Amino acid sequence: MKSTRAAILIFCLILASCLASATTIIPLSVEELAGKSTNIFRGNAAETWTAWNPQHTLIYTYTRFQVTKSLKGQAQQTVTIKQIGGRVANTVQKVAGVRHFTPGEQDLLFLQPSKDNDGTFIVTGLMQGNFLVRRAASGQMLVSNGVPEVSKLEVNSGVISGYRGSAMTVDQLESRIRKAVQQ
Amino acid sequence: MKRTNNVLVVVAPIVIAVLALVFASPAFSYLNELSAPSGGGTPLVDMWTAVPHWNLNPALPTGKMVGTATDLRNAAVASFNSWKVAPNVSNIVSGISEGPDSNVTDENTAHPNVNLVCFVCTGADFTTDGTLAITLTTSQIQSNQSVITQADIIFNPNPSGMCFVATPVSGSLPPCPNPSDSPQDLQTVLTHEIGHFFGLDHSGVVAATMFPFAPILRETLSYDDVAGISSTYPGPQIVPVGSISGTVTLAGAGVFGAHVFANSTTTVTPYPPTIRKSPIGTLTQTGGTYTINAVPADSYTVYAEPLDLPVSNSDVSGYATVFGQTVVQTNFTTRSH
Repeated sequence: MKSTRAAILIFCLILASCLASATTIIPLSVEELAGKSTNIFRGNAAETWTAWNPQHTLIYTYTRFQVTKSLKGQAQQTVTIKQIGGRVANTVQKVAGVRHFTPGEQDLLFLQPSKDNDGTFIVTGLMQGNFLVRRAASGQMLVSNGVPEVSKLEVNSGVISGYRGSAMTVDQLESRIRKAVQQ
Repeated sequence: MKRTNNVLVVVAPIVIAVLALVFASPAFSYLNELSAPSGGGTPLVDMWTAVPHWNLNPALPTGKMVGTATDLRNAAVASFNSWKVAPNVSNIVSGISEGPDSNVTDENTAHPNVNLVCFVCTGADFTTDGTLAITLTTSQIQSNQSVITQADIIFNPNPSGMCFVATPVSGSLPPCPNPSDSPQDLQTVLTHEIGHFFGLDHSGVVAATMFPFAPILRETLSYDDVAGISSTYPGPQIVPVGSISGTVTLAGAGVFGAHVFANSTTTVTPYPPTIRKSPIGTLTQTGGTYTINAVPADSYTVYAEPLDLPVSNSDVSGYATVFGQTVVQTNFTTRSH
């Protein structure tokens, strides 16, 4: 059984190693995200609401964030983020992979102004600029946007370990952002 | 991920002879997009209840496409055909057809009776950076079902550093019009997006078309994709299938959102050779229960693993929410039986 499992894992590793693109996204590095974003901050989701666009063809979910630390762009106390999809009454619109925010959660966000010029922001790279901050059992504050960077096979245990980004602490992420912004 | 002695994951049944399986229950696969019912309760599977059509805007994006309008249409037809000919699907999938072309170029003005496939459209409000395509599905929540009424597949008209290849390929991709861009097989992306069109969510199985991060070139479905589409839209059982059910527990408590997958222990290939053999997976529900539907006759080992990358909670963004949870549970190590 171990040989079968190892074969599967090796197969998965080979596949993972050729992830030059995604079904829908091209993985962006932290530095690329920082370069493409006008605003980067860490904050807490305060409230969310949904609304149709004026043409009544698209539903957007809006989330108001309380900014706790600004890392790029004009510092603001609150920022409203607009994401495609959401629910109004019994109509639901979805884009797979787009995670809507939950009030109370803490995120580190890479943002661009909405093209609608309505004062809202959108997440850079659809969901790639959306790093959920969570406290690990060790007490460390970790961040993840669910986008893989590097994988490796642990031959002895036969396990594919997490991608490099998965173990990033919020301090490490902020350090990379600061360096990228200063360049 | 290090194994620890204080973790107990129970997966049952372990190895099965599928011809003796309990036949598919109405439980949903993790592959489905789910919606919360209005009054609370069991999440509803998003699905079409009538045969849909799709409408191509045949316009080509400037400098970002290798191929002609004919190549584009052929690639779209081939992508839909991958799903149409999947074994054991109902006529909602096998009967999908191409409708009249559309000239819509702005998602804000998309017509509800048009299921757009567009390579030049704006208005989807995804940032162009890092995004190749999105599929926007619209569903109506009814008393006991979530009915998909519209699905638009919108490609990024100007993907940064990439171009799409619509011409037929055999093993390698031709260069982009801009040599500094990297080519991406259009059919690979579109086949995945069509899975979303039908209401499938991302899969944790790396070899699946519905795995959220695809290689440059992979145009065929896997067993996991067939399980997802045929359990959502079950048709005549050309290939006998059953289901595997069980519970994943950690220290006596059910594990929510564990990635459970059945991996064949044989070289049997019950599906046609155009379908790539792969593990078939699902996620556990609250209480740790799971049902892997549409499993073809074979012997399997069942694994339970945390959804902690390469696929993570972010890639199945709505799953925890519809079950009233914040995120999937990942504080355990991989186990198998």
